[in-house]
Amino acid sequence: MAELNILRTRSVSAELEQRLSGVETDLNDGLVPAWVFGNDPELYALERERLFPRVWSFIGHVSEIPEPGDHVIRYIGEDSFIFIRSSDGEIRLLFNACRHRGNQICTVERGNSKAFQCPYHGWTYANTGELTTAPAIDDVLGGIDRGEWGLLAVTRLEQYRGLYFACLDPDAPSLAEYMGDAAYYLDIFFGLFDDLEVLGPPQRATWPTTWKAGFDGFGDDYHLITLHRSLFEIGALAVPPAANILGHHIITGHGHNITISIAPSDEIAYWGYPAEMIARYSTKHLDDFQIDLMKRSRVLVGTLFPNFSYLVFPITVDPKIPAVPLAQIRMWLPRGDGRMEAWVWNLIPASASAEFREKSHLIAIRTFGSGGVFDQDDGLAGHGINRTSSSVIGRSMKLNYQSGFAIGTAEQIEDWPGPGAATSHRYEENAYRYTFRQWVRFLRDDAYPELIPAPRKLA
Amino acid sequence: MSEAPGGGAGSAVNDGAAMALWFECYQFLVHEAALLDDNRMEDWLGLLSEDISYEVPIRQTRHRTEDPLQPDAWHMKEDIASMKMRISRLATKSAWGEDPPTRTRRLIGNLRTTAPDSTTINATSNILVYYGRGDVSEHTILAAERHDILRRSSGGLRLRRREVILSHATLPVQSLGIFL
Repeated sequence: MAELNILRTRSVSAELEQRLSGVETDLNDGLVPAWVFGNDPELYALERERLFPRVWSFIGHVSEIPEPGDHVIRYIGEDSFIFIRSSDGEIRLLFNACRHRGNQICTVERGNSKAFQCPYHGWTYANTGELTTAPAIDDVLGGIDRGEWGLLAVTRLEQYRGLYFACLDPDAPSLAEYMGDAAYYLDIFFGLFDDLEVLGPPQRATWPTTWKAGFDGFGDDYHLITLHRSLFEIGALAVPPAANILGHHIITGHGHNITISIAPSDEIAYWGYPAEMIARYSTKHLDDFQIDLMKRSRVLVGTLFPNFSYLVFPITVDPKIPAVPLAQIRMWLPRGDGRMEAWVWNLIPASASAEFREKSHLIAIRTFGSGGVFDQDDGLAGHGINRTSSSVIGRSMKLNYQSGFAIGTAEQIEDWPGPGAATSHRYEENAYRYTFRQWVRFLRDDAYPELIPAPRKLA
Repeated sequence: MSEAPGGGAGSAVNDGAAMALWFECYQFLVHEAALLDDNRMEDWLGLLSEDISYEVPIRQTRHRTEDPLQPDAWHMKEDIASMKMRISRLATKSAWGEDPPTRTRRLIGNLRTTAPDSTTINATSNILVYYGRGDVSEHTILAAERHDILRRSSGGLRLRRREVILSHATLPVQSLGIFL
């Protein structure tokens, strides 16, 4: 099978290298230079070459391609891949390009195919990626080594709890090593069920901002108070701001972070799941502390570096109607300067009742996604950050990420029983500093960068 | 709807009742569009029937022989409670995404109408929406076909069902903060 290699050719201008070299110094002071959010063709080209091919990128959920031949189009950076369950049962990730002239062979977002025929000259590949035939094959391709000229396949495709991730760099650590302790907290929800499945294909929407506004904003609990104040005002959010601050940010290292809102009582814990769902929880993958966190958790949000996030929390459209929990995964896909695509999948255990399945799906659609009331406001803030950070004056600003570090009351919990560095409360801002630290290491290092461990002591 | 109009006796063009139906329906749709363009949201809400179903299914790029509309996935799938929630949110002072409001200008056309019974009208129309926001010149055009069911009530026509068939696979905006 033909293997895919990344061509790493880009050299960095002295000007950009100088800026990148100062990022960690700023982070040490609790500052993020605004230009990281701005439009910058050289920086974006560097991210496409040094960041996205080298990290473990989210590809899809196993339930999206249940039958042999099922495939969906997925992206690593802006590069197009076919995520497919081949006829031999194996799940593969194939570069969406004919080996002859490079034309894209799969032009649909989703389908079921035994083979792919390139529309240009007709080179035809089995859904395993092998080159099988072509028009006038003997006259034109006689003597070709078909094994050599199959579709380029991503060899590093791994899954955790049904979530498939891919990495294009042979020097990268395994998915398990890359996720590190972030898996411990992901398990608090994803470890509860063996039958999670997606509720249909992902919503896709174009945001007028950089993809980095996705990871920066999604785990940011502080912005709920103001940007989403309208939802408190109409009674959609069950947990008021004064209570929502309670809980923890957890920095697990490698740029990943988690935020958990913790109930002081068991009142609306378990994310508000009804008894029928709680009865289906399997805690076989969880230790006592994870079970305790899960029981007391009102909101769980996690981000795996750099652009995959998940969320579990309860919400309602009417304060007279009890809040219903939704479970969601998101991807923040780069789409050039000033644009990103937010992809949203909602999840449900296959064994959930039809009634709860519909309730959870509907509340997600109505509140949190491409048609949801949250995203309307998030997109606006993302756009404003991007405009400032692309401006002459704005790009020289240093943004304040000092809460929980130099200012505010949040402190690290000294005797945290779980892995990683945990803080209390959830409005602190250390988590993003560690994410940006990992980001700049990927951009600066030619060799595979160190995955920064969780700090013993936040600094 | 399958026969081309204008073909002879009984066709839409020659049928006075059909013309009256079309006219009545078009008047309703342009009135409704004007309320939305003018941000008269409470007035627009008054045109929805209490059992309104408003849906925007996800469209995907599929082969010609396959249905591009997903039967199990939506950008929006609303009932009267969620429509009221959305509109009451817009009335707060912190619906930032729509305050200042997006500038919209809706064009409604290609209307096709039938009346299966005396209280029900099926109306299919195309909509193009100019969508702009902020002090920049960039704008977006949203395009869709709408499958509406209107119902006659004592207060006039009411929207009973709207299915918005987007022409977009990926939404060109970050979220649907407006109604189509």
